[in-house]
Amino acid sequence: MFVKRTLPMLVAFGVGFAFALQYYLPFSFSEDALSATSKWYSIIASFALLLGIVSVIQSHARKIQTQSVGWGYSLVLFFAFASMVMMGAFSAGNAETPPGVKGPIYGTSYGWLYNNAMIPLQTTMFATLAFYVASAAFRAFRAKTFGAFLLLFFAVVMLFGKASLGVTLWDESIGTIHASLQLDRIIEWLMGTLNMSARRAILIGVALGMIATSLKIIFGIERTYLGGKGE
Amino acid sequence: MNASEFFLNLDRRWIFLVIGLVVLLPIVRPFDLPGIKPTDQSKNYFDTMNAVPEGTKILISADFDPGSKPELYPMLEATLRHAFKKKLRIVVMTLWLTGIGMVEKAIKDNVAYAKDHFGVEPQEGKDYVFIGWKTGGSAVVIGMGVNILEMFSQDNYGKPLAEHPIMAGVKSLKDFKIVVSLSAGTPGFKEWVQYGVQKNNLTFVGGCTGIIIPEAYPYLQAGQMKGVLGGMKGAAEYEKLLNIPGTATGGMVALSLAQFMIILLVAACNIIYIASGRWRKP
Repeated sequence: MFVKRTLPMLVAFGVGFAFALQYYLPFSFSEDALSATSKWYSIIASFALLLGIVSVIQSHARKIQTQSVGWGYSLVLFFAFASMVMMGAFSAGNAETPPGVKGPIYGTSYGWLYNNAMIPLQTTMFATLAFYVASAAFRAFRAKTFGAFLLLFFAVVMLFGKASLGVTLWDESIGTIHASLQLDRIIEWLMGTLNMSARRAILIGVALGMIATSLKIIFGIERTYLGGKGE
Repeated sequence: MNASEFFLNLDRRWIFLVIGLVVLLPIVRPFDLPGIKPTDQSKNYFDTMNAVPEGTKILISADFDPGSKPELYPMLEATLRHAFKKKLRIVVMTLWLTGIGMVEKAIKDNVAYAKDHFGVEPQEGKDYVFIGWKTGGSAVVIGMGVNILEMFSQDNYGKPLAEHPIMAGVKSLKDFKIVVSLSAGTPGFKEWVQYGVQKNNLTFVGGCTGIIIPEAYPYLQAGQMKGVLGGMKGAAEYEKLLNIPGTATGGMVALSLAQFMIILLVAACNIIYIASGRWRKP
């Protein structure tokens, strides 16, 4: 009971209290403690990376073993994973030849794979969003109600503002009526006033929630991180 | 099915085809569109970078992965070009593991660009250094606020960081005149502002993808960020201010056309929707 519940709660209380206090202590030992714990955090986070890799391998190995739907993609994953790891190890993790070292002008073998496979694949995945956004905008932006009309109106204004052609066309037409109707001023007002007021409210709410949760953990009121039912 | 019903229930594959053609057009037959007009935020980013004297040390954190390359890589290139042109001394890093290769390439290409176009020869270790990546996100920023050499003992290529002349006199983030974060999400500019800027009283500018630019506004209004480049448009505006056209300037043509096509589709859809009398029906 002591090892499973009381000790972790004492550690959470001690560390939580010490590092809440640390922020207000301008002494070298306080800075050293922060530096040391930042390094501990980095070490723990790198284990999370390892855990992720093990989890991916286990999950896809199971798919191949049971030959479940799409198991061929899991084979591709293993092939791609092994290729990147092997090339990465062979090139000491560098995509380019280190400065001052003579090597091929196109970079290392890992760099070749990174530049010609990983980058195009990831950018393609991201670029397909443009097609789905266009399709979704076509279906969603219909002035069925007053609220929908407002959403449509501001979305179109923002779209104008995010394209250089839109800015030029707007400023050469509507923008000539009055300086305050220039598109960048309207966008700035939308972003800096309407968007900001909502965003600030969310930020303050999140911050207060984080403080409340942290205090509950420090004082042992919130115990779900220990496992079980939190009793 | 009449014409209005056909259009209002248009198969999305037609929309995909139209967007695809519009994006392809400037790639197949390149052409220019009316000028790019820098916003105040882009000007602030440029002015902050431009105001520091030759030899000043700055830190650039390229916090993005290949998915955000079209928007953020041009910002990184333009920032490096600006810094090399002004003979600033640059420490480059990333908080994103998958960003390392892009940063390496950007540095290599732009050192060569600086030699060809500005007549300067930036020396590795003296004028710039790439310190690589460290896991931990916000913890890395906190650690760097105390002691950089404890967080990054080696550069990206395994050489002890303390041996680089550029690191002489650099203990923590406070020793950089400007900190820049080009960010695609978490960790990114939010972590820099929350854990680095406020505590260490840094001059901070950032760049981010178009989709997360609203998140930057609270920090801009509070003065914690001096300027921000938003998406490909922000990158193109920075290139214009620098007077060095890059990939963002070229990409803006395709982006503008695609966005205009979306506006046209939405407008046509609403005109037909209203004209067909559907909006009156409950």
